[in-house]
Amino acid sequence: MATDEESIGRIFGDRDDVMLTLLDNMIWPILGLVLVGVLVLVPQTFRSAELILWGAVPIGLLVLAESLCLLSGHFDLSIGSIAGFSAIFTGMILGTCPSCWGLTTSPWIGFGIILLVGSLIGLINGVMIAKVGLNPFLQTLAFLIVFEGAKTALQTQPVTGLPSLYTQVGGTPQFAIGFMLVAFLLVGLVLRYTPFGQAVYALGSSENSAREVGIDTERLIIIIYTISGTLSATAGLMLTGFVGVVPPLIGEGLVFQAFAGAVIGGISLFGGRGKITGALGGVILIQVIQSALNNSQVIGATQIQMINGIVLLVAILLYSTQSKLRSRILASGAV
Amino acid sequence: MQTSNRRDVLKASGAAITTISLAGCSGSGGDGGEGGDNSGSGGGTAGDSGSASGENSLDRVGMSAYVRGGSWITAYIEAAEFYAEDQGIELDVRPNQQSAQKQVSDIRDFANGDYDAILVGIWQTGAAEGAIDQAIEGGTPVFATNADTNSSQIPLYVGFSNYDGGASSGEQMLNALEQQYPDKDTWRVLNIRGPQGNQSANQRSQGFLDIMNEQDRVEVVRTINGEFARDVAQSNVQEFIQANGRVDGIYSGNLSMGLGVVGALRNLDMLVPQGTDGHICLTQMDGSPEVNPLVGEGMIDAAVDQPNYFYNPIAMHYMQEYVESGMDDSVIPEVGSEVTADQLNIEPGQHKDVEMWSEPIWDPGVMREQNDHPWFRTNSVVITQDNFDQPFLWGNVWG
Repeated sequence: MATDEESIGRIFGDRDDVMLTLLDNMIWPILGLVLVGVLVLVPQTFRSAELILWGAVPIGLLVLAESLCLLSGHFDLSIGSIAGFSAIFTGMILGTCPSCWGLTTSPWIGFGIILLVGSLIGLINGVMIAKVGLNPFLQTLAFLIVFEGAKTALQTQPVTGLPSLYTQVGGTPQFAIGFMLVAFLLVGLVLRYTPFGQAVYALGSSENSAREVGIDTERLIIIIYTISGTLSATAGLMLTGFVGVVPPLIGEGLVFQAFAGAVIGGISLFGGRGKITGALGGVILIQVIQSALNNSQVIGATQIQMINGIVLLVAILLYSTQSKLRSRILASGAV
Repeated sequence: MQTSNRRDVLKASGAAITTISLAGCSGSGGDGGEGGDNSGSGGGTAGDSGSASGENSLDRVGMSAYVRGGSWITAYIEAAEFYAEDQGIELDVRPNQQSAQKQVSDIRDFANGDYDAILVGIWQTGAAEGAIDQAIEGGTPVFATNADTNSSQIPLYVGFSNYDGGASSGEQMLNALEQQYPDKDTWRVLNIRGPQGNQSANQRSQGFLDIMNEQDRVEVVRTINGEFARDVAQSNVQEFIQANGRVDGIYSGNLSMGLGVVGALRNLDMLVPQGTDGHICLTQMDGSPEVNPLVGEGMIDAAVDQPNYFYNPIAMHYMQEYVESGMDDSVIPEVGSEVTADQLNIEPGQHKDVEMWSEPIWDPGVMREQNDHPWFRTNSVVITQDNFDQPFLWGNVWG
C-alpha cells in the first residue's frame, strides 16, 4: 500500500512538475500555435523567414537588455535612446557626410567607441540607481529624454559614408541573426549556470534577501545596467547596419517594443522570474505576427497597430493566469 | 461669415487704437487688451517699418515647429532663419518636442511676450486651435506653414497639398510603368504609407490610391504601413516582396520610407536603373540629399518635391504686409486667385553657397480655402533625371 501511495504521490508530483515546466515555458506552445496559424492563413510569410529574423535583430538585443534589467527587479526606459545616441555619436566620428566629424575611418575603432559609449551610459545609469539611490524609472526616463535630445543636438540629418565593415556587421543577415542567437545563448547560460545569474534572480526576487545572503547588490545593479547599455549600443550597431546609414531618429519608440517582447516572452515585470529563452520566443512571436499582418490581405495597414496591442493584452492575460495557476500548484504541493 | 466678423472686429480695434495713438490720446484707451501689441509709443503711420520696435512693424517673430530629425525639416527651419536675417526680423524658433502641449505652451508664451507675430508648423492639427485663437484675439497674428491648423482665424496657411502630391506621384508612377512595362496587362503596385491617424500620411496615400484606382491596368496589391521610418519601411517591404513575389512599382509617402524601399530592393538584389530588365518603378514624396542622386542614377523614377524652403519666407512676406497694414486682410491674396512670381517676389539671398529663392519653384501658388481660412497652396516640383542636380532643389543645398 505504501508503495502505491508513493507511486501516486510521485505521479502527481511529476504532473505538477510537468505543469510548472509547461507554465514556465508557455511562450513556446503559444509560438507554435501562432506559427501553425500563420502557416495556414498567410503561408507566404515563411518565404521571408530569414528576413523576419534579420529585422528582429536590433529589437532582439534590446529585449535582451530589458529582460536582464527586469529579471533583477529593475527596468530601463533608456535602452532605445542609448542605442540611438551611441549609433549617432559613433557615426559622426566615422562618417564622411558634410556635417560629420570624420575623425577616423577605422571600423574597429568604431566598434570600440559604440560599445564604450553604450556601456558608459549604462554605467552611469547603474551608479545613479545603486549608489545615489535614484528611482530606476526616473533615472532611465531622464536618460531617455537626455539622449534622445542629444542625438538630434548632434545631428539632424542622416549620417552617411560609414566604413563598409562597420555596416556589414548588421547588414549581413546570417551574421546578424547568428550574433543575436549567440547573445541570447550566452546571457541565458550565464543566468542559469553562474553565481552572477543566481544573484540576478535573487536580486529580482527580493533585494533585502539578496543582500542578507551576501550579494553586493549595489555592485550587481551597476553591472546589470552596464551590460544593458552595452547590449543597447550593440542594437544601435545592428540597426545602423540594417539601414546602411544612421537615420537621425534611430532607436526611437523601440523601448515599448522591447518591453512587449520581454513580457510576451514571460519575463516578469516584478523581477526574479522568467527565462531568457522565453524572451527570444517573445521577439520571434512579435516579428512573425508583424510580418504575417503585413502579408495578410484581410488586415488593413491601419489596423496592424491595434492588433499588436491586442496580442500584448492577450499575452498579459495569459501570464496573469499562469501566475495564478503556478501559485495554486505550488500551494497544493506544499500541503 | 463669422470669420469675417471676427476679423472685422480685430481690424476695427486695430484701427481704433491707431487712430487714438495718432491723436496723441494714448494711455487712456482701455481697449481691454485687444490689439494691445499695437499700442506702442511710436506714433508712426501704418506701413512705416523703418524704426525698430515701431508700431505696425514686424520686428520679432516667434516660431513653433517640429525641429528634430531629418534634412527636410532642417531646410524648412533654416530657410526661415535665413529669410528673417535678410529682412532684419528677429526669429525665435522653439521646438515643439513632438508634443502638442509644448506647442500650445510656446504659442501662449509668444502671445504674452513681446512678439509681433507667430509662425507655426502645427504638430497636431486640432490641438493648438485654442491657443492660436487666443493669440489672435489678443492681437498677435498667427500664420501657419507646412502643417495646417483647424483655427478659422489665422490670416494664412502656406503649404503644398499632400493629396495633390500623392496624386502627382501616382501620375509619375503610371508614366514610369508605361515606359518600363508597356506590354503588361496588369501592373502590380505597392503603396507604402505613413502612420495611421497622421493627416499628411492619409492624404498622401489617398491621393496616390485615387489615381491608381482610376486605372484598369493597375492592381494595388497591398498598402503597407512604413510609419514614415526608413528601417520600418525597409523591413516590411523586403519581407513582403520575399513572401509575395516582385511587384512592378512601389510608391512611398515620404523620403525616409522611399530610402527604406531602395534599401529593401538593394538587399533583395532587385535595385536596377530604369530601362533595365527587372527595374521596379519607384516614385515617392520628397527629394533629399540621398534621394536626388538616386533619381539621377535612374533607381528612383520620380520624386515629388515640396518647395519647403519657400514656405516660411512666403508666410513671413505676407505676415510683414499684414502687420504693417494694421492687420488688413486685403493684403492676403483672395481665395480662388492664382499668385505668380510676377506678383510675389521672395527676395533672393546668398546662403549656403547658393542664391537662395532665386528660382520661384512654388510658382504658381493657388489660393484655396481650408479650415475656413486662406491657404496659399504652393506648386510642387517633380524631380526626374532631367533636373535632379539643379540648385533649386533643397536636397542639393542642404546636403
